[in-house]
Amino acid sequence: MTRVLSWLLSALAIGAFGFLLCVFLFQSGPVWQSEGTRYITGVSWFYRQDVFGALSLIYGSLAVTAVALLLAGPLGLGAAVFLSEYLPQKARLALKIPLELLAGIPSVVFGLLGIALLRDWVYRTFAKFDPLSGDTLLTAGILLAVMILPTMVSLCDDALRSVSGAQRQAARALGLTRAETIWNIVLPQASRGIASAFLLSVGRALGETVAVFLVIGRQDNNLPHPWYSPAPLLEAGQTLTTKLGGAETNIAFGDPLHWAAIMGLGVLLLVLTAGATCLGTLGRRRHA
Amino acid sequence: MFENIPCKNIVLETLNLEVQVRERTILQNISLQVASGEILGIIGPSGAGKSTLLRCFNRLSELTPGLRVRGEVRLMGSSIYAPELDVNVLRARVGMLFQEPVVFPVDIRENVLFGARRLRKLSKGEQDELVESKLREVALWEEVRDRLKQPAAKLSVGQQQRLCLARTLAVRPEVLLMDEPTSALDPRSTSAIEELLLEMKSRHSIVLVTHNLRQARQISDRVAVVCLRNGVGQIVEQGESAAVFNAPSAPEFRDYLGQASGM
Repeated sequence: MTRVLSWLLSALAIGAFGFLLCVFLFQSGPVWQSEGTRYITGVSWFYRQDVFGALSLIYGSLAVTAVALLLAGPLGLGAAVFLSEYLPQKARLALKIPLELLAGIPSVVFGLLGIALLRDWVYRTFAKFDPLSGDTLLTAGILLAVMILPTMVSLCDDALRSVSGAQRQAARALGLTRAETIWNIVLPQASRGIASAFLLSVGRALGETVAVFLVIGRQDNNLPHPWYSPAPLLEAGQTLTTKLGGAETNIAFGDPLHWAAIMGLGVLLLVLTAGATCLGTLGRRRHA
Repeated sequence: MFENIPCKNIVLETLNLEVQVRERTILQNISLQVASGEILGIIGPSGAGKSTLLRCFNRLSELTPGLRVRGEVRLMGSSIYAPELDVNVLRARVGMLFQEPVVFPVDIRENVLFGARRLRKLSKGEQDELVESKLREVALWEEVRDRLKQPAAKLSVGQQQRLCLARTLAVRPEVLLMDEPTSALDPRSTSAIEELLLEMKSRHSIVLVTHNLRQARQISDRVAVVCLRNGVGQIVEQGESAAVFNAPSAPEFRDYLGQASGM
């Protein structure tokens, strides 16, 4: 019974997602016909000329997510190790509850904080690189890092706690120090869970809109030259989500090709976030 | 109650040990001695604090929050609670085997080397030698020699427990603490472990906590009986195994024996 039900429910969930994807694919049909693969590899997006290349948006999303992960990953994992392995149980719980509350703060609030505090800080700190303003991909990445940090800590902490106490005790009884036990026993056994914490955070970062929208500058067609140059990080940019959240979406609705291009961004976003979340969830389930 | 063991080297001894959890005393007045080359059995009803007592001997008790230990524990004559003592070195000198075998999720060979490798630098040849000699010592070599690279978790529970013993022996402990090491095992694996203990006791002193009275009687040289008296765990009787079992004097111990045989 439970088996049948759980199959039914997961089929329903997959069906709903498939339906959503189909709607987006169908509506984005014209742009795939007109642009083909250039839609993904094309470097410029000028809707008045009917040129739709989403590469700079994909780049923006990935760059912002990478910055967020690079900052929040080590910090989150470190905090989780401290929480799970060093703090007494009571203090751990006392910290974990507000941490999970923090994860529930509306993202627009983070966006406002980003404008109030982070933008100027980035501008001043990187003054010698002469940025045009504090609205940059880096600013958005840092803000996202702050936003995904609580989730990161919480999920990593869960992963570490899922390693049995008997393993820690056996290692300590062999004379390993606490740090050695963490390094040799706990982290390797929690690695699957930690990986899924990273992936779920990636899913969250890719999908985040409002906060990023407020501090990224929303500059189209910004790509690095050469491709590995970090320069665009200190320039304004655009991500898939900030493009979709902007005014252009409303303008597009009247024009079938333009609308198809916008819906195409939705397809890309869905595929990216769903991919990261699915991989993360799979790892988590197998880990547990 | 205090019994001296003449003409033998005392390896481990406790003097008036007292253990508290928060404000509650759970063990008190614990004085016992373990001589070199002997097995000391610790028996008594569940909940009397036997396992907690055992964890005081390698200070693993410190990993349990809220536990406080007072009194003295000496290893080779010097206090294990001395401030200058490195507790991790102590734990390598006093090995421990748990009720359920705890193998690490790596291969068999790595399991044996796990603790040893961090204590001393070992060349590849020395590692091979150590793995073979320790696995032979626990009578596991013939069974696993062809699959040293396989995950240890694939072994049977009895084999896993012997592997854990090999891993503990590889750090060359002076004393072995055993917390009901056979209670999760089938009779054949149990007797395999018992034979090993008898064989090993000339090299390592052994403290064996057990619920199995037959085991305590057959393989321990002396026993200490830990029972609740006025709600606090204490040693109500200790001495040569045969003497203690043949003429139990403490009423708590007699009750326990009665219950155990009535079961």
